[in-house]
Amino acid sequence: MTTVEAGTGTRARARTRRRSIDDAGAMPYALIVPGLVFYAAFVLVPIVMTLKLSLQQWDGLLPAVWVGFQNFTTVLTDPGSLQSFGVSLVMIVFTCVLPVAVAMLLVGAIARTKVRGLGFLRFVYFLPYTIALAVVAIAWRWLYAANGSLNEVIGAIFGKSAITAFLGDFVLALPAVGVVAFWATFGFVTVLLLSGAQHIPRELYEASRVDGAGAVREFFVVTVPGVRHELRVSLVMTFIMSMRTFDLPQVMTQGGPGYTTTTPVLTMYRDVFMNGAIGQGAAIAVLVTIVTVIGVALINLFVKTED
Amino acid sequence: MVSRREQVFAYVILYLFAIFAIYPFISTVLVAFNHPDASVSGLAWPHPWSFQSFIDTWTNKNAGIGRSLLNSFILVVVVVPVSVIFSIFTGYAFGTMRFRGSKLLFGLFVFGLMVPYEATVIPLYFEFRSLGLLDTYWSMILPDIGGSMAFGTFWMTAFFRSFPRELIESARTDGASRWQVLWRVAAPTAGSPIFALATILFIWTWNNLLLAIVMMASPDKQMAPAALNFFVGAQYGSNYQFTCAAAIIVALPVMVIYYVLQRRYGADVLAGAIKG
Repeated sequence: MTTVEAGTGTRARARTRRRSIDDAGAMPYALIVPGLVFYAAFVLVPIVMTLKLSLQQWDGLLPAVWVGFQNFTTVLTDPGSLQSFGVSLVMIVFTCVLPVAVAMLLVGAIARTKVRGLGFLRFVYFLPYTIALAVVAIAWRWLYAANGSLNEVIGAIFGKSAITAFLGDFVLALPAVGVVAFWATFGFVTVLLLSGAQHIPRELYEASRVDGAGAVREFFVVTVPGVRHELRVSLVMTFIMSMRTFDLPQVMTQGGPGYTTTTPVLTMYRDVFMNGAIGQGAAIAVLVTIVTVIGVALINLFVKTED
Repeated sequence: MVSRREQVFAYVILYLFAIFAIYPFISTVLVAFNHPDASVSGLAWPHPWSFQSFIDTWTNKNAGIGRSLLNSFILVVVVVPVSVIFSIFTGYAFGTMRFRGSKLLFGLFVFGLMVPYEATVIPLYFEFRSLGLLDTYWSMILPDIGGSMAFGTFWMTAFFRSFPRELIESARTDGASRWQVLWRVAAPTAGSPIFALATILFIWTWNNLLLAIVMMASPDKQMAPAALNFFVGAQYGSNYQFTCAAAIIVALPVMVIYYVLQRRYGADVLAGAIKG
C-alpha cells in the first residue's frame, strides 16, 4: 500500500489531498483484514457454531443429530441448571450491583472533599483487579479456612463453637464467594468512576453549596450525573463479569457444597468437557449470551449518556 | 467548605475499604512465609520467616509451577504484541478513514465486547481437536488474539478519533502516505494508550483460566492459573502455605507490571483504558 501511494503523481496526489477524508482506497480494508480474520475465526464463527451445537445432540464422537430446541427445554426444566441461573442472580448482586453502589459512595466522598493520598488509594483499590481470579480464590480460601483470619476473629468474639467452614456451608458458601467477587471488583469500579469524577467542574459543587444543598442532594445532583458515562461502563462491565463467573467457584468450591455455588458457565464446562452433553452445554452458553446481551441493552437503555 | 467531621468520616471510610482491599494480600504473603510444616492460624505471622514453602512449591514436580510460568510467558509474549499491532491497524482505519461498510464492520467488532467469550470455548475446543492442535500453544494463542481484537479495536479507534485531524491533514499535504502518517505522526504520540492496552491484554491473557484448562491437558503445557487450579485440586489443597506460595508466584509478574505501569502513568490510565 505504501508503494501505491508514494508512486502517485502530483495530479493524483492533489486528488488524494482533496478527498483524503472521504476516500482512502483499499487501505482501510487492508488494515482491518488481519484483526478481522482473527476476530471472525476465533470469536464470530465460534458463536455461530455454538448456536448450531445447541440445536444438536452430540457426544463429541458420533455424528451429531439435529434435535431442534430440545436442549433448551432440557436445560430450562432441569432444576440443576435453573439453580445455576439463580446463582447468577446472586453473583449479579455481588459482582455488579453492590460494587457499583459502594464505589459510587466512595467516589461521592472523594469528590466532595480534597482527599490526600488519592494516588495511593487508587493503586490499592485497583490492585485486586490485576491479579488472576484463580489467585484471588486461593487467597480467600485461606481467609475463610477454619484456622484462617475470619474464623480467628469470630472465635475470639463468639467462642470456638461459632467457628464456621464458610465454603462448606450450604447457606453461607454462595455469599462467601459473592464477597470475594465484590472484593475483586469494587476497587476497579471506584478507580473507573473516579476518572470521570475528576472532570466534574469544582464550581458545580460550590454552586450547589451556595444553594444550600446537603451532602446527599449534592451527590445526586452533581456527582451522579457527572460520572454518568463511567457509571454505565462499569455497570456493563461488571454485569458481563457476573454472567461469566467461573474461576472463583471453580477454584474455591468446585461449585459446591452440593450445587450451591455452581454458575451457568461452570455447568456448561462440566456438561461439555466432563459429561459429554455438548448440546446442553452449548444451550447454556447460548442462554448466557442472550441474557448478557439483553442485560447490557437494558443498562444502556436506563443509564443514558448524551454522547 | 466541608465540615471537619465529614472530612474525617470520608477518610475513615476510604481507608477502611483500602484495608479491605489490601488485607487478603497481606494474609496470603504472611502464611506463605511460614514453614510448610508449621501449624498456622489467624494472621499466621511467621516465626521464623521461611522460604521453604516457596522452594517446595517451585520444585514440586507434579505442580510444575515454573514450567507453567514459562508457558504463560510464551503465550503473552506472542499474544500481546500481535494483538496490539492488529489493534493499531484497525483503530487507525476506523478512527481516521471513512470507507464503505465502516459502520457495519466497527459494529461487528463492538458486538464482541458484549459477548461472553465462554460462548466460543466449546466449538473452539472441537475445532482445535479436529485440527490436532489441542495441547499446543496455538490453541491458546489464536483464540486469545481473536478475543483481544474487540477491545483492542474499540480502544485504539477511540484514540485515533481523538487524534488532531489537522496533524494528519498537514502531514498528508506534505506528501506523507497514510502508512507513514501512522508510524511517524500518530503512533509516536500513542505511547500511553498503547502501553495501557498492552497491560490490560497482558492481564487478561495471563489470567485466563477457562481456556487454559480446556485446551491444555498435559502437565508440561499448563498455563499458570491452570497450575494453581491443579494445586488446589491435588492433595496440597489444604496446605495453605503451599497454595498461597503458588498463588504469589503466579500473581507476581502481573503485579510487577502493574506497579511499573502505574508508576509511570497512574492507575487511572488503566481504568481509562478499560472504559474505552
